[in-house]
Amino acid sequence: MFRVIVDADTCESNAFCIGFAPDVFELGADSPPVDVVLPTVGEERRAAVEEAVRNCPRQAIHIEDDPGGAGD
Amino acid sequence: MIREVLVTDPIAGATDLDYDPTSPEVLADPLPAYETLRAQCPVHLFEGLEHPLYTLSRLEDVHAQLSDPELWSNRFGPGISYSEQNPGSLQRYDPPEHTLRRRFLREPFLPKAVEAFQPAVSELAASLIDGFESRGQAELHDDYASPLPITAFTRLLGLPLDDRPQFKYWAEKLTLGMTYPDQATDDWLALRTYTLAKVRARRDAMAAADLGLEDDPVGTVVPEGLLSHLACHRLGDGNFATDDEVTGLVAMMLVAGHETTTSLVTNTVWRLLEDRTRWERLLAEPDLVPNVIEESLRFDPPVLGDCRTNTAPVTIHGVDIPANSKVMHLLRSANHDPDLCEAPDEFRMDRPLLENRKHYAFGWGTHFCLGAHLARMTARTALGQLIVRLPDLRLDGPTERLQAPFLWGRRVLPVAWS
Repeated sequence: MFRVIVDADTCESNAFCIGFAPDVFELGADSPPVDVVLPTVGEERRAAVEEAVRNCPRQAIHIEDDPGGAGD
Repeated sequence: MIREVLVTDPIAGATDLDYDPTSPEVLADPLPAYETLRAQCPVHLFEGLEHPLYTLSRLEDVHAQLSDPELWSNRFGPGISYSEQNPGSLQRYDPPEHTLRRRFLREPFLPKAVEAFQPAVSELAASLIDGFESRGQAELHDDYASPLPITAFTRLLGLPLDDRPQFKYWAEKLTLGMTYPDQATDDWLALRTYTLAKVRARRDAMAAADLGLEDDPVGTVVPEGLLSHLACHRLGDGNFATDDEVTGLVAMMLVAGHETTTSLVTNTVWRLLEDRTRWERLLAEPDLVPNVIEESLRFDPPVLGDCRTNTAPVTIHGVDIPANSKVMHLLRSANHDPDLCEAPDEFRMDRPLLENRKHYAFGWGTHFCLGAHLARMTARTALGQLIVRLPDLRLDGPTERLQAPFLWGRRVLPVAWS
């Protein structure tokens, strides 16, 4: 398991992340612009989330490995 | 003019490469030069200016530079000169100062606000076409592509629409000033005087109204719009924007948001009409408008490249770059790097939208274009109106490129229809 964090001050809803991982990210109602709807994500979605991290033009997404989870 | 080339990457065994970004051949069509740079000279040194200009042309190096604002600073501005002009622009700040100011400005550029602005842009596009439709011909830059972002800027800032000719003039002069600062000194000053007078009027009105702590002056005692926001709201650090900052941010929006959006419209129409089967395909498949705009951004990005300065000495592909050098990232070269997409030198109208958005037309990272949503919406709306209203559109004479060497857009685009 790992955690996904979107920096609310940096995100500007370019929404690449939603294209790569629509189960994890969602366009927010107001602030922060992109909501993380699945904050703790299973390993099977790591590749997709990493793609979202890599492609965020604002570099606003970060992954933290969950100390309580199985790790990788 | 003395030029020196450093080639240390062994891949092509080249010993010399004569790249001059201001030569007529490169100005007319930079892609062949970019391809050679990427293959043979990924870190190029041009000495035809007052100071050395390094150029990065490969996607991986462009991306690396844009991803690392600690090493690659904006403090000397994004242009090729070490300009002192426009000290308050977002393009002259690094994080964390940049983050604070950008956060303060972002609201009207987010998707929801841009969507709400779309009917006004659509209405404006329609009224511009109404104005020239019966003539059977137009110069698409001046008659259509340029008035759209100037009006958007004016409305967004909340300034008088009657001042648009003045903004258009300043936009053109200040854009040229990015490359040739000395040619724009008087215009910077004039824009500053104009802007600060408007700010003072708003702050005076706010003071005279004797508002309570919870009362918002914007939209009540001062007009709606971004200039009132800049004049009357405090930044996240509790301070009002300084005179330099207000002027810098207004100038930045004028320069970064005007000619670039105009170029996006002219470049797209130019590509569609130079091979008219493209135009006909779009008439048959109007749902491709967003894909075509995205492909235009990738294929013909309105900004060819910008500069950063390195805060420490750095070595790239064996080339030593001293600290505080002007180092350009070629956005258009990255967009034509085979690592980005299949057949990058082909203009394809139907590349999948999500994949194709990985291009570098809007830059990347800290300074990724704040107006990207607005630019896309404006261009999609402009093109959408054209295909519906003027389906017979065709080229009607030679086109010309913009004068500024690192901008890429049609300055003259004559069109006709029957």
